[in-house]
Amino acid sequence: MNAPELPEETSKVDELSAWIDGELSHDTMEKLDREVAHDPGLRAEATRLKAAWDLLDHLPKPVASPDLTNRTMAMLQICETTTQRFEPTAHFTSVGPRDFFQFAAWWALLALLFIAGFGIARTLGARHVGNTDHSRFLWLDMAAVAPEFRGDIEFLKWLAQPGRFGSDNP
Amino acid sequence: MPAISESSTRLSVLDPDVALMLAVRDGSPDAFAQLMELHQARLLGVLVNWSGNRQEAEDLAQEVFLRVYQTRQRYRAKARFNTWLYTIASNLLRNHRRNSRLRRAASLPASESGPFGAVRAFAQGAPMDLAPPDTVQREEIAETVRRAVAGLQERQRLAVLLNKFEDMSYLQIAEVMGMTEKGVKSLLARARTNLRDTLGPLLDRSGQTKGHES
Repeated sequence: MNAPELPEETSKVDELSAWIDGELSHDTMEKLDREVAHDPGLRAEATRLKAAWDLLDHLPKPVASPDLTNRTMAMLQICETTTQRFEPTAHFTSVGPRDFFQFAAWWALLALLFIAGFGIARTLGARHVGNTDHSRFLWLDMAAVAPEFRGDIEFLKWLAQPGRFGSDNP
Repeated sequence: MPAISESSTRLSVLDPDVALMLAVRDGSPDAFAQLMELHQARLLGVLVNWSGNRQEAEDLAQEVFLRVYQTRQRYRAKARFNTWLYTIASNLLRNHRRNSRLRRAASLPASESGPFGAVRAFAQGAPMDLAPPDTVQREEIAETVRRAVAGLQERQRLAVLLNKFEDMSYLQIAEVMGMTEKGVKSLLARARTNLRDTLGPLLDRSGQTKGHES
């Protein structure tokens, strides 16, 4: 067998396969033509490779479902409708830099209000705690001076008795 | 809307599908339906033989066409339409495989078997001396061939199917599969060798190579 002058990096099978497919350059094609013509072994190999390839003609040749086109077109419409439904509206698509800064300013203001509110609530809360403690002392003070008012309390109890006033009688 | 360049116009004359796709890009659903009708059988052929499952292949075909429509604005007439179509299909199959949603069940009804397209002429011009098989033999051959193709590596299988079903050149297959032309040459050579080995007994039995070994 005469070795065909092939580039070292390509194997002979690669070249033979490409030769069968007619995918070689003109020069290489002619070179392999001569090789195959004069080398029975190479010709037998090429014939066998081609015969195996030709058997692929027996592969299934499926027929598409008759409604495949219609189904795909219907699916397409659904996809298109869905896309349109979720597309941004004209209002949002026309948002410019000015609108953006306005939007950001509103959010900044809201954030400031929130922070201020939080601070006020915290201050008031602390003061409330202080007041609570102070009121305890106040009650202690009242308890301390309670005997001085004992007479007044007795008088108030006397006033609260039913029938003391004319309007109490039915 | 992208302007139609001079090269686009030239290509749309050479490949009428390009003109249809440009119409699709400009928003013509009729042109899209027409493209589908023209390509769905061959696309389905590739997908059925790639996945081995008819229903799954039809779902994939539908998904491929949907993506063609959804990405129509990105279409540029730089190559034949089927290069664009099968690039989308190839990407979809890659994702499909990655997500492990593809079942490799290879059960095709025998009724779908049959001769498939014209045989590429042998470079030496000598046609193969094929003995006409009867129906039973034909079904048996179809099943053996189908198993042999299913046994190929996925990339080899896709390259074989694109070459056989779509008559794509090595350059086109390279574009579709994101490879070099040289890589496709090696891939197809390996696929050919594998097929020769797997189908060897069938070739020997049917004596299809008789008279060619001078």
